[in-house]
This record gives sequence, structure tokens and C-alpha cells, in this order.
Amino acid sequence: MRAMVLALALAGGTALGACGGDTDAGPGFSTDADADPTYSYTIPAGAGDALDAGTPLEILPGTLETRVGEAIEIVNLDERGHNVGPWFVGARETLTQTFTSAGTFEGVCTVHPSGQLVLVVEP
Amino acid sequence: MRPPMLTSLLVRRVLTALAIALAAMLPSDVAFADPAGPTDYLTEVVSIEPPTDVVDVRILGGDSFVELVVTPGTEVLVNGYEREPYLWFRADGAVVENANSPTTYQNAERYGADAPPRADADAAPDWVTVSDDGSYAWHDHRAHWMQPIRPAGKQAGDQILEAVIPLVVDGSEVDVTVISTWQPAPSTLPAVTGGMIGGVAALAAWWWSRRRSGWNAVALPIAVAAVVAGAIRYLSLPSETGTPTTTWLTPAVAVAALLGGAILGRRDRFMADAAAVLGGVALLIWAGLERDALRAAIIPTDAPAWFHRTSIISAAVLGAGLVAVGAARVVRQLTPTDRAGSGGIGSVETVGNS
Repeated sequence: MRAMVLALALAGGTALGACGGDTDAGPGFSTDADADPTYSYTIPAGAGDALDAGTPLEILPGTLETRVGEAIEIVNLDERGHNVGPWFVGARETLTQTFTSAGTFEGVCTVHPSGQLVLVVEP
Repeated sequence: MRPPMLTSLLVRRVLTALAIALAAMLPSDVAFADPAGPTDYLTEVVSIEPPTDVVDVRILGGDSFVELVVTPGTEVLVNGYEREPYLWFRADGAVVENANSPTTYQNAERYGADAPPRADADAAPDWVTVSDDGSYAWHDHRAHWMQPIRPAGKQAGDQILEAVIPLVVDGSEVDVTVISTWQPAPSTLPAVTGGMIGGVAALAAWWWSRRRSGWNAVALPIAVAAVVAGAIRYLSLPSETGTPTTTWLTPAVAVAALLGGAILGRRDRFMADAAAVLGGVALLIWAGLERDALRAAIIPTDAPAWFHRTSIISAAVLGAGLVAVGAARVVRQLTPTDRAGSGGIGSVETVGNS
């Protein structure tokens, strides 16, 4: 019986342990199409085809340091949507985002040679 | 016929083995596999240019895996993230993976893994066989949202990804274009329904436990439904996607415990109660492992999503009820006053110590 109780305790503990999640919230953003952008970047037409051909693009910096209250604008003139850090900018779309809270984000960026974007938002 | 005392001993050992198996199988299956999980994103193939009917490209698990099925006699090369040779579907049906490609290692996990220093996109391919039937599924990070947060500035219903997976089919370049869309949150109706079903079953188990020794049979239908839901999910994706056996094995332990308790508990109420606790714990663990399916829009299973979600909640509520009722009855039988009675733990302990 003691073995059964021990096994049950182990099983329950394992299940509880598996319930842990990622608590890193990162920076906050809000959509404000009228915001005056502090940073503006343009993805040119043909960027997708260039990537397919193996040509590296450097449209955004690998690391972007910003402050809460500043805004970023990404204009996509390409026929293909692109992933830029925490954003997806669809074909021929313009995305404007204001930074609402501090934090650091690291993620995929298809329009940088490293394939990564580090975004640091200071208070 | 086996004497009652020996039967009790046998049942006790079987239940103990089930409990140990339940505890032992969890870490190995949960900690190391990276199977398709519930997701809010649906990836679809929107074009194959130029069109060809010798390859079939499917997305499995919502957005988790890309599966390529190649017609026999056709050769296909899948390029990696640095346009290096990554997968080679040979004309004889063998599928080989380039052990020198960084993509091979980066694709080991859904959100990407680090490639070892020896991986080199410029090195000559080192092919390792991964399939022999002309089909293979892999985590392709071009086909799913890779960021650790939700797409900023987007909402459910919006497109959140567009990418091209480059193939070379019989020497000609073929581009597979995929898009991914953020899906709306699922209805709460299955969860509410499951809660009601589980609650009714738990009440029925409590009521029956006061009248009959094989009371945990009441819980069997929901436990069997959990096994069915888990088995369908396990069988819905190819083996290389690594769906863990705990998906069906955990509720199967519950069924075995409850069935054993229902049949043999007539001679030993203590074992019936202990079996109910074990079955309840197994159902709770299963519901815990499957909990993401309640929130996510897409569940990687061929079963209806409402059935899977209803099974999870009903198993969780019933499992909690079985543990509560069973544990209360076990504790009551372990008290000194009950020890003097007949048919309780006292007789079992005598057999166990002889």
C-alpha cells in the first residue's frame, strides 16, 4: 500500500510540474494608425523573391532599442507578407505600433540576415 | 476458485503496479517529446508553383507539421533554411535527412532548437534514413508562427504568416506557399456540458458507494470515453510526429483500475475504494495533460473537437470526485474503530503479513 501511495504522489507531482508555463510577457504594443512614428522601415517590392533567391535583406536592425511611448511604422511594398519580430505585415500593408510597456523581445525576422530581431523597449 | 484472501492480495499488487506504471510513464513521455499540441493557428497550403500532381503537401496538427507525400518514381529535395539540402525523397520511396544540415536540428522542436557546431549548411550531405514509404512529416518553421507572443496588432481571423517552402521536384524548382490564420477561441459549451456530465457521474459514484461495493463501475463510461478520445488523437498523426502514448495510456490505467475495483471489489471494499482513488488520479492526470485543448482553437485529432473537450472536463470533474469519495472511504476504513469490523483493511493486512 505504501508503494501505491508513493506512486500516486509521484504521478500527481509530475502532473503538477507539467502545468508550469512561460511567464515572460515581453513588451506591450498598441495599434494606433494615427501615431507619428519614431521609427519607419520599408520592405521593398521583390523582397520575397530576393529571399527565395538566397539574397540576405537588412531592412531592420538586428537590435532595435526604443522607449515606451515611441511608435514604429513598417511599410510593406512587397507582394508577400513578412514576419518582422512580433509583427506580421501583410502584402502591401502598413503597420503602425506604439510601445506601451517595457520589455525585451527576441524572435524571428525574415528581413534581417540573422533571421532574428531583438527588440528592447525601455521605460 | 481462488480464495478471497489471495484475490485481495493479487488485486492489491495489480493496483500497485498500475500506480507505479502511471507514475513512471509520465516523465519520459512528457518531458522529451515535441508532438503537435493544441494551437490557435491554422496553416494552409495556398499554392504550389508550378503546379504538379506528383507531390501532396499537407499541414498536420493545425500548424505544427508539414507532411510531404511523393508519388513513387519521383525525386524531391526539400531545401533547409539556408537553402542547403535538408530532406531527400528518393524515387524508391526512401526518405533521408541530412545530418549535416542545421535545419535538421532546428526542426527537432516546435519553436526551434539550436543546431550543434558541427552542423554546416555548406558541408557535403550526410544522409540518414527517416522513412521508407515516400512520406514524411516535420516541424517546418516557415509554416508556423514562431514568436513567443501573440502576433502584435492582429486578432482572431487575421492572417499572421506567409512563407514559401522551396522544393526541387525531379530537378525543377517548385515553390509551396503557405499562409497561417489566427483562429477564434473555441466555444465553452463542450466544457460546460462535460462539467455537468462529470458532476452527475461523480454524484452517482458517491451515492452508489454508500450502497454497493462495486460502486466505481459508475465511472467506467467516462473513463472509456477518455481512452477513445486519447486513442483517436494518438492515431490521427503519423508516428514520426511523436504523439505520446500517455494520450491514451493514462485513461487506460483508469479504466483498468476502475474495472478491477468493480469486479473484485465485491469481496474487498477497501480495494474497490483504493481502485477508485487510483482511477480518479489517472483521469485527473490525463485531463491535466490535455488541458490546452480546452483553450485552443484547433486540437490535433481526427475526433470532433467537442467530443475531445467534453471528455477532458468530464474526466477532470469525475476524477476529482472519485479521489474525494474513494479517499474518504479509505481513511474511514483505516480508523481503529473500522479495523475491528469485518471485510475491511484488517483482513487484508492479515493476508499481506502472512
